[in-house]
Amino acid sequence: MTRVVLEHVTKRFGNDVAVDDLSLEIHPGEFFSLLGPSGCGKTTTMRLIAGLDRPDEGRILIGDTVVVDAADGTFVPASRRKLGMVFQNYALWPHMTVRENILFGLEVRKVKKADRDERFAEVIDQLQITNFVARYPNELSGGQQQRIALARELVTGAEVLLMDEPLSNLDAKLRIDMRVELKRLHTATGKTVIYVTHDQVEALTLSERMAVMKDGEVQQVASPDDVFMRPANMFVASFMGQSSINTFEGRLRGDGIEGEGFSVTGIENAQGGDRRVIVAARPEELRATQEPSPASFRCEIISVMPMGYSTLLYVRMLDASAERFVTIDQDRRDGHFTPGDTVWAAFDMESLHVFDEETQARI
Amino acid sequence: MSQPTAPSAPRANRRRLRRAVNAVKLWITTPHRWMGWLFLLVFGYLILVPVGEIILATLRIQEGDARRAGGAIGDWTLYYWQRTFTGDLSRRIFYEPLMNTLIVSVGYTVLAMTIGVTLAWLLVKSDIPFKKFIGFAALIPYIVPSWTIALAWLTMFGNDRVGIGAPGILQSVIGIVPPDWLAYGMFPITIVLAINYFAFTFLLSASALATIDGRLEESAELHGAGGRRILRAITLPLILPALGSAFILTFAQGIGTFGAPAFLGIPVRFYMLSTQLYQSAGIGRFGDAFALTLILIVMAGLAIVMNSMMMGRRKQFTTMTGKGSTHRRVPLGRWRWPVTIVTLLFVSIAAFMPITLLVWQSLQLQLGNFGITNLTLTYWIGEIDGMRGIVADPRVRHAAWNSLIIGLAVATSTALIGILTGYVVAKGRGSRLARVVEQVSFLPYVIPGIAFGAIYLTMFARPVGPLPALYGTIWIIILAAMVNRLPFASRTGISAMMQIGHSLEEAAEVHGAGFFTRLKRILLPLSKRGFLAGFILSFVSTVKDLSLVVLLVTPQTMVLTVLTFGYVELGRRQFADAIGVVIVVLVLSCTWLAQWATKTNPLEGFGGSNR
Amino acid sequence: MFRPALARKENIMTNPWYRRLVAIGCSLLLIGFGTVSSQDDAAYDAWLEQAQLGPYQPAEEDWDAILEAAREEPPLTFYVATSRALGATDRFNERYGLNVEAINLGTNDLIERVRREWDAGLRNAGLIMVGNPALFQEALLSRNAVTRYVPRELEAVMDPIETEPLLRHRYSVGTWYYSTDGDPDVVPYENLWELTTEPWRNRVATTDPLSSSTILMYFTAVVSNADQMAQMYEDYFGESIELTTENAGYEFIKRLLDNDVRIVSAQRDVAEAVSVATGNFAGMGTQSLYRLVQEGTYDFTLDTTVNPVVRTFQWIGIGSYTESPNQAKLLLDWLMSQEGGAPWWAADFAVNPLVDPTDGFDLRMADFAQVWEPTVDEMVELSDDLIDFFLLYR
Repeated sequence: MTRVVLEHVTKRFGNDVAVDDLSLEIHPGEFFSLLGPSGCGKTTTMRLIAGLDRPDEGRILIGDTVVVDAADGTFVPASRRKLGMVFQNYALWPHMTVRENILFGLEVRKVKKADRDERFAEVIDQLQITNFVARYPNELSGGQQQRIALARELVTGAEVLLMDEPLSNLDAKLRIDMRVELKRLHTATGKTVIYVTHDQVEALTLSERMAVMKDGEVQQVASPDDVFMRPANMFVASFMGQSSINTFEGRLRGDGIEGEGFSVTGIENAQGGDRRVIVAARPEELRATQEPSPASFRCEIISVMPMGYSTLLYVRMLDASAERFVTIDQDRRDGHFTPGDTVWAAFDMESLHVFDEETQARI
Repeated sequence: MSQPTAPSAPRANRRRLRRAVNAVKLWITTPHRWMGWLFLLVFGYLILVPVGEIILATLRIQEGDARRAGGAIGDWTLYYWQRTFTGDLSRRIFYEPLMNTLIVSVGYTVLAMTIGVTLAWLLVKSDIPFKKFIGFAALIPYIVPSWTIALAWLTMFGNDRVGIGAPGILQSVIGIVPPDWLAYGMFPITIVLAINYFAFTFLLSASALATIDGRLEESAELHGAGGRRILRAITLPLILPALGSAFILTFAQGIGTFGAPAFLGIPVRFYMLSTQLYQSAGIGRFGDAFALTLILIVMAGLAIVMNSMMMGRRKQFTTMTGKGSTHRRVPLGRWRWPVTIVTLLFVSIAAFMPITLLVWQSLQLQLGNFGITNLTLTYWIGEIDGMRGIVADPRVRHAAWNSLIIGLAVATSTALIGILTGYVVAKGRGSRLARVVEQVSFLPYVIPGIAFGAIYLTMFARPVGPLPALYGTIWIIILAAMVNRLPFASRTGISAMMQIGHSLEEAAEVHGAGFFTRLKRILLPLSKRGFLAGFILSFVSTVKDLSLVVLLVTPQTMVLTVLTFGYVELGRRQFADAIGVVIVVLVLSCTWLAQWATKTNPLEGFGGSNR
Repeated sequence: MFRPALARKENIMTNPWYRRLVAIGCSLLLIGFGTVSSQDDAAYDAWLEQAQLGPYQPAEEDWDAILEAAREEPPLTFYVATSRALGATDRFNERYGLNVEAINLGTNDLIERVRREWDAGLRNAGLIMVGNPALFQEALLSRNAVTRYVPRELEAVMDPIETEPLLRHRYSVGTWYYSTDGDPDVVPYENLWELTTEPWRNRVATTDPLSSSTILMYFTAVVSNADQMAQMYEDYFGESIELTTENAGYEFIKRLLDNDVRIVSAQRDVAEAVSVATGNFAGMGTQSLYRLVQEGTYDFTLDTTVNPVVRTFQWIGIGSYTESPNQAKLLLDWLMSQEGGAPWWAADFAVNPLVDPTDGFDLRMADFAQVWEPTVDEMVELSDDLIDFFLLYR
C-alpha cells in the first residue's frame, strides 16, 4: 500500500495556471476522488502524478520516493513510476488483441513467462473476461473494453491506480454496474486509487475521501458526507447536488439572518458579527407547507413538476421587493399542490448552508 | 535528505550539479523534445542554409563572371540583380519569362479550376452516373508526370516547322498543319498543365463540397429556392474560401514546373522562369540562375501567405461541420446524358489518350509516320544507329536502377522522418518547438523543384560542414528529393500521429515502455497505413520527378526521367516515349497499390489536398 | 481535426525563434565557406615528379616501364565529349589489360563537371579530352586542373602551336550543309548573307549556341571577322551595310535569328531537319556528320565552297593529381595513334601528322575554300558577349 503526496504543485500552460499551489496527501490504500467541473485541473493533477506532465513548481512523492521535484529538476518518467492508469477512452491498443493488451506491461517490464501467465489467468478470471481474450478491442462493447482497461492495469500489480473518468463513456445503466464492480475491486485489491471525475454521484458513491477542485485549486478535501453536507464554500455547495442550489442574500446579526422576505435564527458559529452572507439551500433542503413555521417564507406556486417520488415546485417569493424565484424538491407524499397556491417554504435548519458573501467561505 | 542549515558553498554546487544531471536525464527521456531540436537543426541545415547560400551567391561574383562583373570572384556585387531587373537583358532573362510564367499559370489555373470544380460538383452533388469511373479516370492525368502529357501533345499536334520537323497525327494523318501556336509555346503549355492539375482542384473542391452540410441546402430548398439559386446563393459562397485556396495552391504548384515548359516551350524559344533558370544554369551563369531561383521562391511564398490568409478567413464559416452526412443529389434531368457523355469523353481522353499516344509513337520506326507498317519494337528491344532498345540498353537499365534506389531511399527516409516529425508535432502540440518544427518542415513547399536542384547543386558541390562533397553521387539527389518531399511527408506523418491520440502512447508509457519500445510496439504499428501511403507516394513522386533532378544528375547517377529528357533533346522521341510509358505504368501501379493497401485515397496526401 | 500549418495565424517571420534559426543557419554557412581548398605548389610539384610530367618528363618515354607502372594503378577515369570514345577505350583495355572507364558527357557539362569536382577536392579526372577551348581555358587551365602531356616522339613531329598549352587531338570544322530540289552539286545560296533573306525564312537550322560550342565558335568567327562580313554584305547586296548592332558580325547573327532560324538542341536534329526538308534548306554543324551521309543515314550535301568554315580543335590532357598518370599517358598516346584514334579518323582531322585518314573518308581540310580560326583569346573575349547577344535576340 502506497501513499501519494503532492506538495505545493503548480502547473502552467503558457499563461494559464492549470494547477495552482496544490497540496494533497492521499493515504495508502485509499479510494480518493478528484472532483470538479471541466477545466478545473483535476486531470492535469492526475497527469502530474502519472508523470505524463511535469509541474513547474512543487514536489510529488509516491510512497517515499520523490518522483518530481521542480526545485532540483528531479523527474522520474512515467515509464518508471510503476503506476496503473485507466484512461477516459480506455486507450486500448487497437492493433493488439485483448491478451496482448493485458500482457504488454508485463512484457515490457520483463516479467518471467510463468509469472506472466499466472497473473494473466488471475486477472481475467477476476474481471470475467476469459471469453474474449483473443479478440481485438474494436470487437468489444464499451463495458467489455472498460474491463479490459481495468485488467490491463490490475495485472501489472501497480500499487497506485489512476483512473481518469473511466466510466464517462458508458451508458447510465452500465455505469452503475461498473461502479459496484470498481468498489468491489478496490476492496479486494487494497490498492491506492486516485479517481478523476466530474460526476459527483461517482465521487460520492466510490470515494473514501475526495477533493473538490476549481480553477486549479482545491476547494475542499473531505469525506463524501462532509463534502455534501458541509460544503466548505459557496462553490462546493452549488457544485454538489442534483439541481442548482437556491441562494438568498442576507445580513448576519448575532445568530440571526435578515434577508429579503425571510429571516432565520439560531445560526451556529456566527462569530465575527455583522456582515453580509449568502444562505444556500438545495431544493431538497426546502420544504413547502400550508402553514408558516420558524425560518420560512411566503411564496406563490408558479408551476408544479411531478418527478416520480418527488415533485418540483417552482415558486415566487411574495415578500421580496424584487422578483425572486425558488425551486423546491418536495416529497410527493407531502400532499397536492396547485399553481397559484400560496405556501410557506421552510429552511431545514439541520442542513442550512451559510457563506460569507465576501470570502464565500462557510460560516 | 533534509537540509537543516543554510546551504554551504559545496552543497550549493552539488545541488547545481544535481539540477544539471536531472536536466540532462529529463532531456533524454523526453524524445519529442530532443528529436524536435534535432529535426530543427537538420532541417535548418538542409533548408535554411541552402537558401541563405543562394542569397549570398547572388550578391557575390560567381565563377566565370569576374571579367563581365568587373571584380574578383567572391567580391560583393549587385551585378546579378541589376542584370535581372534593369540590365539590357532583363527583358529576355526576367520580364518575359516572368510574364510568360504568370500568364500560363493564371491560364492553366483558371482552366483547371473550371474543370475541377465542375467535375467535383457533378460527382459530389449531382446524380451523374459512372461516378466511380469518372473519379478514377480524372485522377490519372495528375498521377502521370506532366512531361508525358507534353510529349503526347507533340505526338498529336507537332508540326514540321519546328525542331527536327516530325509531324504529329494531325498533320501526318489528317493533313492539317497545326500552326505553331497550337503545337508549341504558351497555348499548349497552358492546356497541358491544366490537364495535369485539374485533378488537384477537383480533389480540393470535392472535399470542400462534401463537407457542406446538406441540410443547409435542403432548408434553402424548403424555402423555395431553385437548383441554380441554391448553387449560387448557398453552395458557392460556402465553398468559396476553399476554392480560393485551391486556386492559389494550384497556381503555386505549377509556377516552378519544368517538364512541360521545357518540351513545349524551348523549341520555339518560349521561356518561363523555370526553363530560363535551367538555361542560365546550363550555360554556367549561376548568378542569374540563383536570382531567378529566389524570385520563384518568393512567388511561391507569397502564394502560400495569401493562402493562409484565405484559410484564416475560412474559419468564419462555422457551417463547415466536417461531416456532410446528408448528401443532396441534384437531378440533372434532361441534361443528364449529354453531360455524362461529355464528362466521360473528357476524362477518358485526358486519362488515356497521352499514354496511348506515347505507346504508339514509341513503336514508330520512322518518327511521325502513323502507318501500321511503320510499327516496330526496335526502340524497345531492337537496335538502331548503334543505340539499343530501352530493354536491352545498359544505360537505361542503369538509370532504372538508379531511379529505383533513389526512389526507395527517399521513400523510406521521408516516411520515417514524416512519422517522427508527426510525433514531435503531435506530442508537443501547442509548444513553440513543435510549431517551429512544423513550419520549417513545410518551408521546402515554397521552393520549386528546379530551384531546389539549383540550390543543392552549389551547396553540395564541395564539402559542407560534416558532409563530404556530394556532387556526382546519388546522395545529393536522395538528399534533395528527401527535403523536397518533406512538406508532404511531415503532413502525412502529422495527421497520422494526430489520429493516434496521446493516450495510446501514454498508456504504454505508464506501463513502463521507453520511447523506442513505444515507437516499435505502438506508434509505428498504429501509423502503418500512413507510413505505407507516405512511402509509396514519396516513391512515386520521386520516380516521376524531372524538375528537381534535372540539374543534379550526372551520367553515373542518371535517372529515367532525365534520360528521357536527354532523348528528347537528342531528337530520339521513340526512346523517350518508351521510357515515358515505363514510368507511367510504374507510377500508376504504385499509386493503385497504395490505394489498395491503405484502403484510402492516396491522392489526399499526394498533391496534398490537406496542405 | 488536423489543421495545416498554413491555417495558423502566427507569422513565422515575427517569431523570435525563427530569427534565432536564421542566426544558426548563417553561422553554419560560414563554416561551409571556410573549407575551400587552395592549390599547393609544392604538392603539385611533387605530383609532377612522381608522375614524371612537366619538367620531370624524361627525354624519351620508356613505354614498357609506363605500362608496368600503369598496371599497379587504380583504374583511370577518362572524361570525353564524344560517345565514339567508348569503343576506343574498350579496345585499349583489351590491348593493355587495363580497366579504364570512359565517361561521356556533353562538352560544357563535361567541363563544368570537372571544374566542380576539382573545386570539391575530388581528383577523379584522369584524362580529359574535350572541345570548347575558351571554356576549357577559363574553367580548367586557369586552375591548373589539367596538366599538359605530349609524348616525346609526337613532340618531335608536331607544330609547337598544336601542343601548347595542351596537346590538340583533332580538328573539326563548323560548316554549312544543304538539301535542294535542284542539282545537289550546286550550292543553293551564293553568299552567307543570302541565308538572312526572305526565301530562307525558317529554312535554316542550327544548334543552340547556348549549349553547342560548334555554333558558338562559328558566331565567334563571324564577329571577329566582322570586316570581312561587311565586305561580303556589300558583295551580295551591292551596298554597304547599315548597322543596328556593334558590327557586321553581330548584324548577321541578328538577321539570321530574325529570319526565324530553327534552333534545335542537337547536331543530329539539324542533320535530320536538313535531310527531311523539301526544297532548299541549310544547316550548320560539324563536318563529322558527313560520315553519316556517306553511310546513308542522312541525305544532304556539304558546302565546302561558298560559306566560310570555322576550324576548332579538341584538347587532351592529364587530370592533375590523378593517381593513374601512367594509364593516362598510355591512353593519350593510344588515342593520338592511327589505331587508337581510329573511331575519329573516319570523320575528323587528326592533328598528328603521322595519322592517315581512314579509307573512304575523302574529306580533307584543304577542301574548304575559306577557313576561319578564332584564337582561344578571341573566344574567351567574345563568348560571354555572344551569349548575351543571343539571349537578347533569340
